[in-house]
Amino acid sequence: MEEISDREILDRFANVKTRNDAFNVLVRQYQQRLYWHIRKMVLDHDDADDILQNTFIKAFKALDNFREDSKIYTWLYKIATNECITFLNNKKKRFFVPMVDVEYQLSQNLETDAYFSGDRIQMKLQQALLTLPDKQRLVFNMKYFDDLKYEEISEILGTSVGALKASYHHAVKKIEEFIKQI
Amino acid sequence: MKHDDIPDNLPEGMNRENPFRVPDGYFDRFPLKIAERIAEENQSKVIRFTPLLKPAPLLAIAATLVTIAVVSYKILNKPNEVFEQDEISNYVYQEGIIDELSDEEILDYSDFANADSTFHKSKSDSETTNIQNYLLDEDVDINDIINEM
Repeated sequence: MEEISDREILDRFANVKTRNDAFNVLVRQYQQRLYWHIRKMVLDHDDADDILQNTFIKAFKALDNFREDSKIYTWLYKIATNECITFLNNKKKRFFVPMVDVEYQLSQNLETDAYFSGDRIQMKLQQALLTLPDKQRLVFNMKYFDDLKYEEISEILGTSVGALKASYHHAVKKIEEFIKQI
Repeated sequence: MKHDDIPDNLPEGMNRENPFRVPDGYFDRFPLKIAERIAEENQSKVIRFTPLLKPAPLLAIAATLVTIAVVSYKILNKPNEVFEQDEISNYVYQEGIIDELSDEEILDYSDFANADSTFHKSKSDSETTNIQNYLLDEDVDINDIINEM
C-alpha cells in the first residue's frame, strides 16, 4: 500500500466530506505497526485489540488539534504507549497482586496462547522481557524489535537520549543474565 | 539493517522475528471496526442529552421562579383591588343607588373597604375616630356644639 503523507491526511481530515475516508487511510497505514508495538507490551491479542481501538478513537477525537510538531506516526505511538502503561497499571491494581505475580501470569498465558508461534528461545526472550520494569521493556522493544532511533524514542517517552541508552544497556544485561540462569 | 546495540552473546537462534500472530483477516477487518466505533461515538454524541445542571438545582430554580411569580402576582394585583372598590363607589354614586342604601349598609361597606385598605389609612383618620368616640361616650349633642360655634 502506498503511503500517504501526513499533510494530505490532515488536509482531507479537515474537510467534513472526506474526513472519514482520511481517517480510514490513517488506520490502514499505521494499524500494523501500532498493533505489534502494543502486542509486545500486553502479549494477549484481545487486550492488544482493545488498546489499539482505544488508541485510534482517541486519535480521531484529537486529530483536529494535532499541532504537527511531530510525525503523525510518532504521535500515535505516544498515545498507544500511554494506553499500554495505563492498561498494565490497571491490571496490577485490579488484581491486588504484586507485579511479579502479574508478570508470572502473563508468562503462563503466553505458553498457552494460540497466537504465539515463537520457538523455545523466543519464549525465553519474552519471559526475560517480563522481568523488566514496563518502561525498560518499552525501550527494549522500541529499539530491538521496532528499530526506532533513540531520538524518536525520546520524543515518544519524553526521556533524554542518554537515559534511554542507559536503560537499553541495563535491559540487555538483565536479559543476558536471565537467559544464562536457564 | 545494522544493530550495533544488539548484545553479542545472546543465545544462538535469538532474532528479531515476530513470534506473535493474529487471527486470519484481522487487519482487513480492523478499519471497519474503527469506522463502526466512530459512527457509534457520533451517534451517541447527537442523542445524549447532558443537562447543564443536576436535577436538584433545577428543582430549586423552578421553585424559586414559581415563588417569585406568585409574590409578583399578589403585589401587582393589590392596587387593582383598591381601584375596583373605588369603581364600585363611583358607580353607586353615579347611578343614584346610594339613595336606596340604608346608613347601616353604607357603614358596613365603608368598614369593609377600610378594613381592606388599612395601608391607606392616614393618621388624621384615627384622630377623627377618637373624637367621635369621645363625643359618643360623653353623650354630647351635636346641636350644642354647632350653637356654641
